[in-house]
Amino acid sequence: MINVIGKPCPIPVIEAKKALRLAAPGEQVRILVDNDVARQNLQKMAEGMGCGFSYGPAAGEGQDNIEVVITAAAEAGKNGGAAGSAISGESADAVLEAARRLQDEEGKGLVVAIGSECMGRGEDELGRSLMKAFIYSLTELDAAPEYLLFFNSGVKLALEGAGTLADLRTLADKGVNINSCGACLNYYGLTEKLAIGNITNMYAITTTMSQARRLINLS
Amino acid sequence: MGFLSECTSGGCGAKIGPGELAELLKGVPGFGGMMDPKLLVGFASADDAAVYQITPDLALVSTVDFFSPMIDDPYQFGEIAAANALSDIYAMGAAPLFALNLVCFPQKMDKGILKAILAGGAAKVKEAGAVIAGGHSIYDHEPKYGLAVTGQVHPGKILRNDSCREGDCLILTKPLGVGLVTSAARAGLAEPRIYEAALASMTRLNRYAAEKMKDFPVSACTDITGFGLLVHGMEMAGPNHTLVIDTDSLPLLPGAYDFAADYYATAAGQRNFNYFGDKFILEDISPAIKEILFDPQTSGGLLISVPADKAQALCDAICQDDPQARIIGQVVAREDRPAASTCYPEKAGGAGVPIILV
Repeated sequence: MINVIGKPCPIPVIEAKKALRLAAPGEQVRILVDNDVARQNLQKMAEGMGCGFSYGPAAGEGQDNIEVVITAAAEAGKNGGAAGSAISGESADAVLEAARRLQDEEGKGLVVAIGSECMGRGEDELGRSLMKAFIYSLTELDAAPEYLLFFNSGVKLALEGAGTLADLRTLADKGVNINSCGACLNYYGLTEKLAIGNITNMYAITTTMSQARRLINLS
Repeated sequence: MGFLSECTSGGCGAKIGPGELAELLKGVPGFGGMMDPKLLVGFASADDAAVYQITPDLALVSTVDFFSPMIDDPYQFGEIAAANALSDIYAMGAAPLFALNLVCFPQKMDKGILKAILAGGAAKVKEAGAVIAGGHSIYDHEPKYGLAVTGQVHPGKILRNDSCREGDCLILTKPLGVGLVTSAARAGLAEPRIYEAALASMTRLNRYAAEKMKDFPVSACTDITGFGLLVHGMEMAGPNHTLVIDTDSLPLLPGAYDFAADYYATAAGQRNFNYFGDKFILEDISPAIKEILFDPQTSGGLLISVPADKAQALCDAICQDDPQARIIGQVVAREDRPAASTCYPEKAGGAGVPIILV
């Protein structure tokens, strides 16, 4: 048991991380803290590192003391770091199980990333018409993608007056999340013309792509 | 042994939480009740300092700030406490006149430490062009130091914290991350270069940035302290506006991002988040940046709202003496959707998804 009673933040996190570095996957690290904010900061760390997390009132003296239990993640999760996914209070096993369950659901988890207004290399006119056909084809799929991500000149496909807009509306109605890169819209001076979906940033694009179970990347 | 190790919490991070404070002040006579009409700025507006009109051309500005140490060097702690106390005067657009010392000090601690604290404070008050006029000192278990500062301002030139206008751009004059760096330093994690940068920022007077504002039609100003950028920003947004912050543009102290990404979060930052986290749209903001947005800033910079066409010129003027000042966002009407966030159409690659203060 690591006792950090009376130690200010971030010392509880520092001590817990030291212990986790030495812990085998699945091994539990117990930390005794004297305030709930320290517990919350430990929880952010545990969730960010993909570790299991639980807590409860500490036994014995010190009525407000809290005993925190962090379960060391498998190696992959340890390096996973900053994403801070929503796996609060669940063990690594439960997370893996949930991931497997999701994988079984047909058509879920397809992310389509589009980094150009043209499809493929060659004449732009052909590329544009291929892209229009591609977006239309997405509407015809049995299972629509979960995400459409537009970046660089790809953002032009989601603007007012774009030939692809009607098909994107169809996709949005099917529940597709359509996100365009805010920096890219700014660069082209087109933010005000965005006609569908939300503005996103590189952090969110990267997170969505990294968490995709299947990714189509047209750049 | 340094005097810091005797303390349980320090700097602006020791502030009583914002929600807790509102609860404590409920029903206290004078708060929200009948006001003296000469009290131009009082508690009702949660501004940086009180302003009391004396004549048609003169108002007094009064503020008090004190805390326990967040660093180990007593002289620099004195400088930081004074810079922090004076900052509220500058945030009101005022000039400091005189200050009174507030001292709590353990009976058994080396009095040489107290001398150094007072010398540091006096040096900053002198740099501000004000004088120390007296003070009050008591014995206490933990050392604490701060000042009550009085300044003056023309009643027509008061800079309130909640009078921003739609279309304004926002300038932040000091880098963020003071709380993260100082608490990491207490735990022995910050290398000297990183620690020195945070010290330099905390001891820096906001006087120089404030003086640049005089030549510009600034609509609102506040200083970023214990509640962090977003909660102070929320006070600025008030009920009618939304502040859209470009997180890629935020000036950061060296080390701050890395400490946040390594989960070395502060208790005060988490308390700020607990009270106000649900007021903001933060969905696509990385956990590390979130930590920085709520990080308590001891002696932080000014947050200035100025019409967009004057923003770059003001930012450039401030950068002459405070080179880390940046335009960090824009004021829009309440309920405007995120797509309206084009603060810098001329700037490529900068705009992250905005945070909306609601």
